[in-house]
Amino acid sequence: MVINKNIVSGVFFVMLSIGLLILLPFQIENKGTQGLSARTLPSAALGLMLVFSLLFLIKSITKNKQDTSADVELTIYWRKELKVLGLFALIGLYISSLPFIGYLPASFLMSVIVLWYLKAKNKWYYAAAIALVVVIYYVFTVLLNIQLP
Amino acid sequence: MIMEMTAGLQELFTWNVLIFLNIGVFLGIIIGAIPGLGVMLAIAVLLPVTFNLDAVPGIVMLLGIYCAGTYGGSISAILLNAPGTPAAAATLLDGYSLFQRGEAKKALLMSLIASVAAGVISAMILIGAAPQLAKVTMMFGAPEYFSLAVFGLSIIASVAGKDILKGLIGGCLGLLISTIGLDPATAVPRFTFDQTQLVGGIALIPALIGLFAFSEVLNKVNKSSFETTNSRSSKLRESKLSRRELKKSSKTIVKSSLIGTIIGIIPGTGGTTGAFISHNEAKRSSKNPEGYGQGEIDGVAAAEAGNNGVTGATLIPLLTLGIPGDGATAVLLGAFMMNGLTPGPALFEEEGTIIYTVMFGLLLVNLFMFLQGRLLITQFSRISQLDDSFLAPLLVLTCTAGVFAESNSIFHVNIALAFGLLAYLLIKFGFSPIPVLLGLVLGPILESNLIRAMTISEGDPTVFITRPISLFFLLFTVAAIVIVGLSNRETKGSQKG
Repeated sequence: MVINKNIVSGVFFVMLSIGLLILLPFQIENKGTQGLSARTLPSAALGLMLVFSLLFLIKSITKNKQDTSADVELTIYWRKELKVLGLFALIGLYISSLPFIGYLPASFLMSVIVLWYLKAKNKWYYAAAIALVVVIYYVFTVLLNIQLP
Repeated sequence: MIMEMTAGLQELFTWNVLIFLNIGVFLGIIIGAIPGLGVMLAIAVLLPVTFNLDAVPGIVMLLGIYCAGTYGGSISAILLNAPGTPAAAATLLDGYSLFQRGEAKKALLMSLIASVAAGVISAMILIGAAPQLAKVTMMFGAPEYFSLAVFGLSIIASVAGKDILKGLIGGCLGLLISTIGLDPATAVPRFTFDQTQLVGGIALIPALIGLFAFSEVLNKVNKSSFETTNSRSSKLRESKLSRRELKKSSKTIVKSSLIGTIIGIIPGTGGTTGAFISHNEAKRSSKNPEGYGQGEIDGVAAAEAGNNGVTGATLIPLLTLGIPGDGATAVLLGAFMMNGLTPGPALFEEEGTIIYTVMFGLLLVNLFMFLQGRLLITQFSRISQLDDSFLAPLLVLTCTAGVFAESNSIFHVNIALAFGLLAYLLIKFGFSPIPVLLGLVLGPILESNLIRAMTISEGDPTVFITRPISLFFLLFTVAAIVIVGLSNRETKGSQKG
């Protein structure tokens, strides 16, 4: 699937700015002194983001529509993106499992699964990854005396 | 003073001091290279080791960790696209592109040379002019800090890439994220969505690791590891830093070292600001500005000289006024006090010998950092020959451990992962994560000093233009934006022509 990445990102940031500007009064109490309140910087950042996003969107729409360069077009390969999402979920699962099963077992599992997931063929990598987990654990907990989960 | 200097030098050249200095340098390089750990944590963790040592070897060892840790951050920035310290974020702009081109060794060597040169220059300035320069620190109030932060944000224009609007949107996003948590003046919660874990705000380290390291892990799925590894490995042997390149960058190194030193003298600014301002200045004054951010070796030199120039300079307000310039020097202040040395104006009169030993020690730290770094570069550069499929779990392991160690919180590791996904999407849509980082770093400085300045001036905004240093930075900001705008126009014009 081919999309115009500038128009898509422009629309996203315009919507994000408007959404957060609407949400702002419910999220931040209007309290402050000397003309400044807790809302000043968030409002300024959101206001500027809205202005820049609108300018960017207008520029992207009015720019040469025939332009198909990599600066404008983005081809989405769904299989690859799903694989990225899978890796993200794997890392998320690893982080969430740390308090329950501990750094060592969780890291052994994660390293082997990620290597398999990324189709690592070199068997030494599996051994090296397991050794690395032990080294990191030793360096942090024994040498630096920093507690890991 | 000469007598104290001579006595200081004599005390420095003892086996005991030299051994602990080298241990500090070695540990600094290694710990600095681990994403997430950072110099401050390294010094804090190793501080108890110095309890049983005399004052000089103990402090010199911690100085070794401080300087070498600042340099060590560039190693992972170049090799893994994961800056070991926030100060090394500017190094990856060009360093990682050089790594991808198989020129890791060249980038690592330039980073080492620039770091050492900047460290030596700032140490010499520390020895020669510490008390005089400390007076400059006293001239910095809230309006000056605010204007400096505004100037820092103007760098977005130069690191935004092809589209300045994309950079500005990213900068606003970073500023917005920096406001999450309690308001610094009223303690009102902002964008916390009733989550108690967000009350403390978004910490810099998880955001940094997420923006660069975790996004790189996700990116590795899209890369053909066989091709990238082979192309990097075949070029690794050829990748040498030529004399011509070194000579070309020598001016940048000196200029960036001085910028880093000036930034470092001002407490609370730090190496990140120094590195980005130096990189920006090198790009601005270059005949080939479009090469910066694409693997320009001069960019590595500028960023590294910029952040290591800060190391000696942060000791100026620390030793002369007792004001620590950043978190790491705050821990160093503790080390001084533990040894019965209270930094401040009286220290030079009461403990002149020890102070000069420490100052010359800083010079020596940089020389040994060069020797050790030179030996370690070959080993580090072998990472280029590893498959991306192996680098992915390596990054996840070190970053997770680093972020957890820094905060002792799984929530922060999750924040890092969320930033990873954000940066992955930003990069996919042609946005650079650097402006987001700049917004995050400078947002709190900008806001807290704006509030302070307005409170002191009783709501009078002219305070920013009636104070000369503040006005200077604001004018400098306008000039920087105009120059970048004009040069972008020229570049586009020449491309069309």
